Amino acid sequence: MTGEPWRMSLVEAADAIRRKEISSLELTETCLARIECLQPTLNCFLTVDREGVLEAAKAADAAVGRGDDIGPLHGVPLAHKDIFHRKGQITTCGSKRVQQPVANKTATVLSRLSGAGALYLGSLNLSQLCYNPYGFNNDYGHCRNPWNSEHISGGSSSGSCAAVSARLVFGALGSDTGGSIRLPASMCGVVGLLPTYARVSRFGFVPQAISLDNVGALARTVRDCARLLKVIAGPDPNDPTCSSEPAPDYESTLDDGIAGCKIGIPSEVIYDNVTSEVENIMENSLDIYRDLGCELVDVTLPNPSELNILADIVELSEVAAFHAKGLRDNAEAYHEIFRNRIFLGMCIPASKYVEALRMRARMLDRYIAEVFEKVDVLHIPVMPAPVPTISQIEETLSKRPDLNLELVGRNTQMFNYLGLPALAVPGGFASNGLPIGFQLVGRPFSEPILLNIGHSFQAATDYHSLVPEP
Amino acid sequence: MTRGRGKQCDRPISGAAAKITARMISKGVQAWHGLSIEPIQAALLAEVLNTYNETTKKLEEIIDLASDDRPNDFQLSLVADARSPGARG
Repeated sequence: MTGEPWRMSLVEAADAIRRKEISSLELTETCLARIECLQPTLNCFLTVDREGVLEAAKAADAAVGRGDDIGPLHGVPLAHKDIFHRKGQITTCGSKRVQQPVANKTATVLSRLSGAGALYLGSLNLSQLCYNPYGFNNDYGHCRNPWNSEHISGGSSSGSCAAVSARLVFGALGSDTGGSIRLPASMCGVVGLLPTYARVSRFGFVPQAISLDNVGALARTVRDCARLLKVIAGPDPNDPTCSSEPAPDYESTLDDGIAGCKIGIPSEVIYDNVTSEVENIMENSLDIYRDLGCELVDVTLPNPSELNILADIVELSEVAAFHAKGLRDNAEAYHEIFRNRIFLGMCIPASKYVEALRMRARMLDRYIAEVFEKVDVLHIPVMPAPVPTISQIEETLSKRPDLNLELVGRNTQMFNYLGLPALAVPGGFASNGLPIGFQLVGRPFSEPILLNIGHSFQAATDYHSLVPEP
Repeated sequence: MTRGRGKQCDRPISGAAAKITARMISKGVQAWHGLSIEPIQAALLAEVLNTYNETTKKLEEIIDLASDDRPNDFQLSLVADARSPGARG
């Protein structure tokens, strides 16, 4: 095959290998060449397993040559946020100074991807200890936005989103506790899927706040995310918290028509702080859905601020419990933003933490009754404003180090608390040349509907096929 | 002094309440976790905690947890709500 194979989507690449139109080695070499060229600017990767992935690619090609039964991701190079254990390796979680032990197990999601034939290209950068939404990492250096390296990539799944956006890799896993998949996906112009709570196994994953943590997929297209989700979702005997609901074939319903779907548009609060530029992009995306035959319905949402505070109480308490000893032993290893958040978690009474957890089911019931008995999905901006520069965020944090999610919006965290699935989709570009995304949010286990509606948007637009030139 | 939680919470908080909470934070974190917090930092955290406190108090009025005798299994709620009226497909 000639041309530029890195331009293919994950599904196109996997299908091309299956049809013997391209070799896994060719695909892998094209990724390695792009990494060599762009890594110095973007700082997406923490490690690149060059020899290992080339060997694996040759083995994958040999299997195709023999006519072996191959998996849905056979021969496709992927890389992942460095929070998933690989037996015998150190999972850094984005920190050099907070030491992690050598892993004695491999994360279920990595085993499943490997079982489906995917290759492991390396580990990806992230916000230090997953704990800021900007992609800042003082130990390994900040990850940069491929659309303009002066701007933040978003985080905490910063390397995953930047690497997929810059076509260094065909897909990646990330994690999302309060927006860590959707925020960087929106800022880098890729598709990011937060599945229903515990839809995907978390065995072998470094937790942040186990009641809110989720593993999800990042890729260039919704179809790519559907394929990745099918591989990683489903019950896991190693993770008793993982949902026992079977995982459907998410790709099979992507092309279903969406005429008549009811899309909810929040009529207040969410849009209070949204800039006119973001609002225009949201309106344009809704026009496309209207043209596709969807019904747009105004909905009044339960107070997002209250839900975010309940999410904060759960998250901060759990993060503080996880890191208290580390902070006591080695406080300087933690970034100031992180230290402040842990201190906050240490001050929350245990009774309030338990109350916040008990309220969760009640709040979910209320949300379903007030929103999802009226509409199929919600459509809301991921961020209220265009992607800021690194220096803008650093300047603000120097004056207000207690701020965290507030600087990039509060439209993501509430859905972790509610356990609802959300799909971030590139919706257009701001005047600064950086992408803006919207998120589709649905009932529990409504991923097939979200993916169907997200895919329909991509079939009618080409934002996802534009390539940044860092 | 204003709260740090965005547009919904930008009323000033009472100086006395903030001071009490800040003192509580410093002492509590020192006693329970063996860590010390700078007074300025404690004051910032006190603002946020007061907002949390007021919000949870308000929600306690709305959400009657005392009469909620369901098992506290959030995942069962997710499955039930996936299948409740109005669900598509």
